[in-house]
Amino acid sequence: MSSRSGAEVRDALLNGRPISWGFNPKERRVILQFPKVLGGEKYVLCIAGYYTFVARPMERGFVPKVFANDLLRRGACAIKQVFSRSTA
Amino acid sequence: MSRNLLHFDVTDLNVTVAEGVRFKWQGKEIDSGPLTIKLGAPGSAGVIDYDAGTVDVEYRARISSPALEEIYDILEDMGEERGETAPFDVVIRSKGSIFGDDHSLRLAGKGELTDHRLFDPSETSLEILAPTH
Repeated sequence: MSSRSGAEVRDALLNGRPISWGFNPKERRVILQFPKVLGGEKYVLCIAGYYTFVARPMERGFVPKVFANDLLRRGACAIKQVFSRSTA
Repeated sequence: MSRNLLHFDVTDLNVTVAEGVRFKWQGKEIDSGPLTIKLGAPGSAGVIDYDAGTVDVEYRARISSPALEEIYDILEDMGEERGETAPFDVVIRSKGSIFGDDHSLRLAGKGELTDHRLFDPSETSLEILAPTH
């Protein structure tokens, strides 16, 4: 989950693919306060695992403005490569 | 002018607190065993605002553990309605930022508990801290 680039994650999300993010299992991220009937203790705990997001169907294909230029640039490069191959 | 928003559903949440907790109930100290936090009621969802570089997400989660399940069973045997003793549901509202290099998320949030026989919302709280990096 940590080796992906931002562009890969964005592309996957925008194409409706599920993307997961994990927790560092060594980091204490949860504070849980129990009620008095269960002792009333406060715990600071490590959590392990992940959560997954999927763009809603109506959102798929949506291209945020901040990424549009990047996609256009990559598209232009791909067309240029195909053109140079076909004319070589 | 429309904003660069991406609405999403949370389709999975699979979290374990392996160390569990030790709590007291009716004078006894009890080891909860591993706590699990998974999706509960439907409707977990959120939105990424690419203009602001922020994420807002709501997880509708359910917390369980072997020892809690045993206590729910005992309470049920004692005549409590199962609906009042289990499940232990919580709505976690998290906010945070997105980092462009790897699209990592830095989320922190607070849980809002539903009414529960054991986990009185006025005495119980759940907070998720942001990752340190």
